[in-house]
Amino acid sequence: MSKPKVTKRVQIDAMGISYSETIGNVEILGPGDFESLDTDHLDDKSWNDLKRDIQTGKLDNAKVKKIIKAKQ
Amino acid sequence: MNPSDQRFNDRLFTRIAGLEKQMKEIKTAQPVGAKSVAFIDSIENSFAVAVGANSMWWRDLRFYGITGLLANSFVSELGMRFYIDNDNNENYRLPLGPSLTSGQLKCHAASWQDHHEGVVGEKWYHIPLINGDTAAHTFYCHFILTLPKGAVSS
Repeated sequence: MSKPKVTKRVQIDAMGISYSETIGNVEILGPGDFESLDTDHLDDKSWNDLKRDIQTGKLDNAKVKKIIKAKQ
Repeated sequence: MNPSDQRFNDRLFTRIAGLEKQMKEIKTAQPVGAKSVAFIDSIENSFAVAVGANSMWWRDLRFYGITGLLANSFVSELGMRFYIDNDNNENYRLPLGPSLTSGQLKCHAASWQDHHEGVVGEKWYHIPLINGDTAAHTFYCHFILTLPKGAVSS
């Protein structure tokens, strides 16, 4: 049985940065205008580091984008 | 016995047998409440969102590409649990986590019973996130959708 695909996503909106992990056909949406960044290309370690830094408020929007882009 | 009376009885028994058959068919086809309907849980999904001091925000969950047993709608139940500032930590689970501080207890995730059908095979849930504290808090949400087996395409 193949491993189910996990969609990892970072969302930037007026409230700041949030993230989600979903499997299957589900989408998580925020209010108003937001920018949704696909982070599926990140390996598990990079993703967990990114989540931890978002949780602890270490990253602003620009830093998040830079990290995601650097791994592409 | 008068032959016409016998024919009446025969017709009556035939009609009763036909009625029993119809009742069995209705029960077999019963879509809700019948034990023949199997349900499954989706795989657990999650999201995290920071909500500023004395602020309200919301998230939508959009399930799509789903077809159910009842025409273009589908029967489902959404199970959710929320944690404040500590992901998947039962001590910080809303609303009664034993380690929740007085400030964290002012955080509420409300009304996820608020939902509607979208286009065919689509269902939306709306989740208000309310932070009544004077400090910012992060809401962590884990959710599972339960629905008729075979109804998810993923």
